[in-house]
Amino acid sequence: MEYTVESNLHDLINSKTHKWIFVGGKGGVGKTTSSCSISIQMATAQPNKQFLLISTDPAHNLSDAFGEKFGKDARKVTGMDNLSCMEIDPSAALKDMNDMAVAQNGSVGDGLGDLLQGGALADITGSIPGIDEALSFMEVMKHIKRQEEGEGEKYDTVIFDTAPTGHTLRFLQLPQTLSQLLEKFGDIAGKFGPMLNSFTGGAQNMDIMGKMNELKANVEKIKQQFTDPDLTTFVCVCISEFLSLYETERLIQELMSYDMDVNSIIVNQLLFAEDDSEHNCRRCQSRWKMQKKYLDQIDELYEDFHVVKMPLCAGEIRGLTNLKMFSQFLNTGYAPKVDGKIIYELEEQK
Amino acid sequence: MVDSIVLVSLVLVVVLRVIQWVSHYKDYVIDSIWSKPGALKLRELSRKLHGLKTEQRSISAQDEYARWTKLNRQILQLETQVKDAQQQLKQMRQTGEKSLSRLRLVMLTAPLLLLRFWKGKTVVFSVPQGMFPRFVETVLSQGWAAMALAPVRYVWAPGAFKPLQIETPVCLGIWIWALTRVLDTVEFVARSLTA
Repeated sequence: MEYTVESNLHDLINSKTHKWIFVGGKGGVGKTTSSCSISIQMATAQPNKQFLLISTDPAHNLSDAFGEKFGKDARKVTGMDNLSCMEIDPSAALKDMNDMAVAQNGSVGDGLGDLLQGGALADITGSIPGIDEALSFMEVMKHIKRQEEGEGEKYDTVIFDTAPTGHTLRFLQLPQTLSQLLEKFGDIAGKFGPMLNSFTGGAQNMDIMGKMNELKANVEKIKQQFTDPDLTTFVCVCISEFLSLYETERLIQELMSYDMDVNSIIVNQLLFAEDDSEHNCRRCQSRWKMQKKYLDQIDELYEDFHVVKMPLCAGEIRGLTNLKMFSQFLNTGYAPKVDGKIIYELEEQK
Repeated sequence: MVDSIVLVSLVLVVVLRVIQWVSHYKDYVIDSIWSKPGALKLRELSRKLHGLKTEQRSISAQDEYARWTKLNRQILQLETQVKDAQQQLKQMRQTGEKSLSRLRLVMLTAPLLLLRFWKGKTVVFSVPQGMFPRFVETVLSQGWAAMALAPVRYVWAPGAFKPLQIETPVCLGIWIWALTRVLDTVEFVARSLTA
């Protein structure tokens, strides 16, 4: 029996098991639009579940996409009962960290306290490469912990609108790296544990080993969940151009090396020129020809993937109404002859 | 008896030296004895990898993206296999190297050492008395130990060494040392000429 893969995300949208969905790709290919679309479709298809869309991209676009302001705390999208959004702000998180350090260690008048009051910790930590990813990861851990403790809103599925490929790969590598690091630290701390504890100050009596073990257990849990295809999947977003495809292939290979499930590709900004009666200009035709060339290659390379072909719309896909209209094609697939008029309908809505 | 001792020493020294000469072919020797399948597998994989890379370089990624990517996937897969094969071969070679050095120790180094200890003073040939200074003649006949023991001997029996016989014998220990030196020099000359 031949197994055919549908060219839409119907299975994922109606999935009852997925807890973590990552949406990623090269910069400017429509990751935010795609992640918003997936979230909206999932929230519509499963009204009894709660969904959270988190942006881990330092250059946040969720607020722009929905046309309303989101912050570092999850807030419901206006017009949707079961979809919330949040934007992790590394600089705000760093400031929080700095304030905590001030509260714990610094009193005015002592040297360290004065330094921390000036935001030194935030400045130093902010310059560490990969700190954005680390903070996003910490946010995920905090979120899991909160869910376990039954605090705040409980979300069944979390969708990540990720940063461009490099950042995302670093983010996804973090559980592995942290796990190895903690393993090594555990070996050393086993030998010097009591000494480390005494260094941190007997009065405060911080149990470094205990904290490390707790962190290690959390990291292991995340690692396990991220590599379970029933719980986690990655949706690649690209456009039908060489560099975008090249980066998508690199992303897929990397993800596979992390044992992450990846079986969906959204190809955005397609022109479908021959079916466009209104604007079938020469430039569109030749560009569509190029896009078709790469689409054929995608079909050849990713025959066991859900490859969803999405149209380039006349206007920006912003606001819940536009996103809802656009996102339906993720569930059903886009048929240029039938659905072509929506490209211009989107333009009319402001 | 003396002839056979000399012959055995000669064989041991020369074989040890030959092994040293082929030390840069050690991997080849070890591969052919202990890790032939691993070495063959690695060679085959490397050959395939080279072929794929050449093929990939000959095509344009933009014109034939699917073909280029498929080749890239195969290359990535092969690179992992090559890495694994290299690791396996390294382990096999280490095992082979250990066996080889143990074999060398038992078969060559230890017998030669024993020979130098027990038969070190065996006379191989003699040179006429007075050909070399007395001190050198003492070393020739009694080995390097005589040099180390010279101060003790001086304290024990002060005064000049008296001639004992009309010929100075050359002992096996010194003969082996001289043979090694000669071989070293020959090797140095040969290397300098071929470099």
